[in-house]
Amino acid sequence: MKLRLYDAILGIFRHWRLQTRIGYRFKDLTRLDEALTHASVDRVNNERFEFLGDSVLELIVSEYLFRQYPDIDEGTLTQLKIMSVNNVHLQSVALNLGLDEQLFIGKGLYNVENRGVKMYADVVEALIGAIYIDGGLRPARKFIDKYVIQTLPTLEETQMHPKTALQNWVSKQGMEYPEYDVVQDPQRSGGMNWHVKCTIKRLAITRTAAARSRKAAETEAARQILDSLGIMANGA
Amino acid sequence: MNDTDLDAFQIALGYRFKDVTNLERALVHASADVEHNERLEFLGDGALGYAVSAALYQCMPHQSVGDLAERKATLVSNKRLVQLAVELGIDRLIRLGGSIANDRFQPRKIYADALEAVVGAIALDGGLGAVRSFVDKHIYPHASDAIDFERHAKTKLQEWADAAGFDAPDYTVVKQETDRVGELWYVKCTVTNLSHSGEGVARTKREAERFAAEAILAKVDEK
Repeated sequence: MKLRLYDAILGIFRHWRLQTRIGYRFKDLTRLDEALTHASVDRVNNERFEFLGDSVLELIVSEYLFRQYPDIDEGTLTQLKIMSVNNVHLQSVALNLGLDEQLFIGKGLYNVENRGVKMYADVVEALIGAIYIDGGLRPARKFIDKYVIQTLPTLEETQMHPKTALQNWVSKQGMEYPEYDVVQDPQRSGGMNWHVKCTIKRLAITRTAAARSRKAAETEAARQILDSLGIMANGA
Repeated sequence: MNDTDLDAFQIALGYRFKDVTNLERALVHASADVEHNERLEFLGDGALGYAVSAALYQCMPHQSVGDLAERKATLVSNKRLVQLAVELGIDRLIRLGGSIANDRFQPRKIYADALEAVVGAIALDGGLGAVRSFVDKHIYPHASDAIDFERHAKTKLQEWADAAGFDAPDYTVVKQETDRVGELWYVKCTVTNLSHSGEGVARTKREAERFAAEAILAKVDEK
């Protein structure tokens, strides 16, 4: 009995903390739990919310871009939209919100390596779907604006140097700056090229690039990471 | 385009615009004018996807996600949108530029794109509620037949197996031959630990699978 009381208090605390982070109070907390339940756990899981949330997200992002950039063509709008709903971007939103600690997943998935990028992206979409069903478009729009849209580079930032663009992006996600490590130095090991590895620890992403100068290798590695994040940079 | 055409079009749409500027623009293809419909199409695509998903989510509480996704894909497919665009008369109202206008084989996707642009114009003029009404009137009514019948039997069997605690049904091509008319597919459907099996023969594999699924469903229903 004591244990149950303890669990109940813990549950209330958990809900309170998560809702504070999300910035939305659910009328019906079972929706929040459902949004956080991966299909590996239960027949009642977040898949239906994810189906809905995916469309709500696309709608809100489309609306935002349409209004924000009255002068750019449809092709660029589409590129910006793809960038916003990119799975790696959504994963970083999930991590930023600490959803990785709140997710109910099946036993087979406890092993961290099994939790893919898509699983985290899906939980963000499911959360959007749950907020939409619980409170309508207005709170869904508020959430998307704060966590998905404002954390993206602006059109101007995408024109920046890849290293600057990457640094801006990670700092908007509240992550540590990218690390650049020289893997191979031609002055020591011979050969023509510098090999530089760029790492973003929180996302466990690394890319290694080679070029004649260290700077160029760093730039290329940063560009490759931006590529995998679906972010346009410097005409890339 | 004259006002009478535009009036008739709005009646067909079931939505009357407060300001027709965006509606007119939605009917201008990029080949015709620098002021064209592509940005509206971008907006409309998002609004349409949302309205269709929301309608499916709310009206089909018991369907699986796979089923909802498939219905949605069908309802917003190019083929369906072209069909609806032609029903609404968009093919006659759209403004096209020189080379495309005279092309007998002009891509019909242009009509679907213009329809999305019209939806974008509705969103701007009347908000998402108006888009939801448009979808309820013109698109959602097809939701029940948005899954091919053949897929439906397979979906039903899948759901039944799932609910009864069986593994997913398995479809094997037992034989494939060609006669004077064409190909013939023989498909056997089995469910692990279920004594019944079903067989289907048809000209296409999909149809044979559907017959096989139906055959099992019929046996299961008898019990």
